[in-house]
Amino acid sequence: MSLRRLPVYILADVSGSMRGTPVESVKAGIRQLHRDLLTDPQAVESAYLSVITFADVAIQVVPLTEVSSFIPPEMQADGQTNYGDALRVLLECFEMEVVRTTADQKGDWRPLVFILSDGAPTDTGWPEYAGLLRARRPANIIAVACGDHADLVALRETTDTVIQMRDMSPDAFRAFFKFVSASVKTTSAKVGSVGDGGAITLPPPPPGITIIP
Amino acid sequence: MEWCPAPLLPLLHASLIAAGAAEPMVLASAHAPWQVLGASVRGRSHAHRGDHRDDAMAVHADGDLLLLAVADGAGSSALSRIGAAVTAEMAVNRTAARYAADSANTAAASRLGTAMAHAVHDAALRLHELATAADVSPAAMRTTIILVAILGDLMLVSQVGDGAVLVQRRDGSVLRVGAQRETAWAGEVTCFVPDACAMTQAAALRQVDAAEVQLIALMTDGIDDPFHPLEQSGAALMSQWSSGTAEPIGTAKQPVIGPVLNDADALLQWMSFEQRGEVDDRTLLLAWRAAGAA
Repeated sequence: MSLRRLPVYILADVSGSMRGTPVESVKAGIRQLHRDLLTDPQAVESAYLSVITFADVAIQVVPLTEVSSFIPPEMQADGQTNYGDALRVLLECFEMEVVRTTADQKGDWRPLVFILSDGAPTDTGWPEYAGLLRARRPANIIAVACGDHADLVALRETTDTVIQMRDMSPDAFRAFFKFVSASVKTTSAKVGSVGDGGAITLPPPPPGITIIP
Repeated sequence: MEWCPAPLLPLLHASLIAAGAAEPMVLASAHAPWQVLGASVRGRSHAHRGDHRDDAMAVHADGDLLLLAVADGAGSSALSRIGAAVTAEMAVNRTAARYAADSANTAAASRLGTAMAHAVHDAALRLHELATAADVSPAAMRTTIILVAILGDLMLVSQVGDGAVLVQRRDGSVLRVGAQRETAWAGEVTCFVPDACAMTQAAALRQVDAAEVQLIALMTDGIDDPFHPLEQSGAALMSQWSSGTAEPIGTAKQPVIGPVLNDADALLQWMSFEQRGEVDDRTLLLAWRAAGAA
């Protein structure tokens, strides 16, 4: 009779192209997300946050942590976009951190994953891991194409839910993380109620962010 | 927000609306040899937002036939509270009507099972009609349903979606009856009423020898989930309902109370247990053999 958690993973592209305002905006957005979730009783009880950054390699900079103990991470942007390593680390985290329901234990909610990227993968291994995510469907994944140079094909190969955020200003990132917060609150409040094989209903995205059909 | 949208007011019976909107909802009745007590309460999530309860329950007795139902409206569906209330009521009423009208010269189990599956189908059709009247998708009405029928020594269970049925036999052994979890993830249900798959699921009946049964518990996942797995906690739950909560189960924070059978206040207190992350509506419907009943 263990705790039933809503695991939330944020995969943040911190390659060189994110240097400056974009990476600072992502950091500020994660701090804002954390503050926002602390005000929601259901999210405080159920949501667990993790942050994975990816550039030349992917690193889980914050392991899956309950909201009340979460400490927003520092990040620096530099290097290439090893998207495949990000997906590999994500899959490893699922194996190590997420609990599935069995005859003996109560499982977590299907994880919620937000992938932010502003460029194209520089590695060649990403299709293999994107394929594994597609086949196993271990999470509800929302991929966010930041700016005009994000690789929509790679994001599409990873998930059906791709949203476009052309504007990469601090205000745009702030609005995006509000959307993340609303998504987490909605999902954590719908205990026992997710239909359609686990697909979630996202809240309407803010102005400037569009869902790519 | 009103429990019943204006376009549906002329289409739903006032008693169904009153029961659906009641907080909490309590049912108590006697149908020899069975006594019945149930309660349905709003979860912390709905209470925090000022929303209505999405769970429902219903009981119907007709001669020797006792019918019990609990339903859990999908939280992601806007009018699931209507779907749950309508489906629970129609499941019991339509089963009784269909069974009474079926004069086929076949075994009672077959006729009763057919009536149960068709009653769920009737409810699904009704939800489609109501959705049209309310100008919403039928998916807005989605609900689970657990329907139990007892006829003499025959007990049948029909289930669409999650929740659970526990049975305690006269020898004290406890059995979980009905569908198991559908996915590895919490809270995911792949088929609801009025989806097209509901009739098939409803027709997959489980049969129990009622002559051996002492206590039956129908529950929505708001009760089932906090005590998962019921295969391990079921005996302790039955003991608490029969004898009181001297021994808490697992990590649940439970009030110290006496037996809940025959005591609606005690049942409501029992349902107020706390467990982190468990914020769903809770519905528990108990049926037990009255003392001295054969």
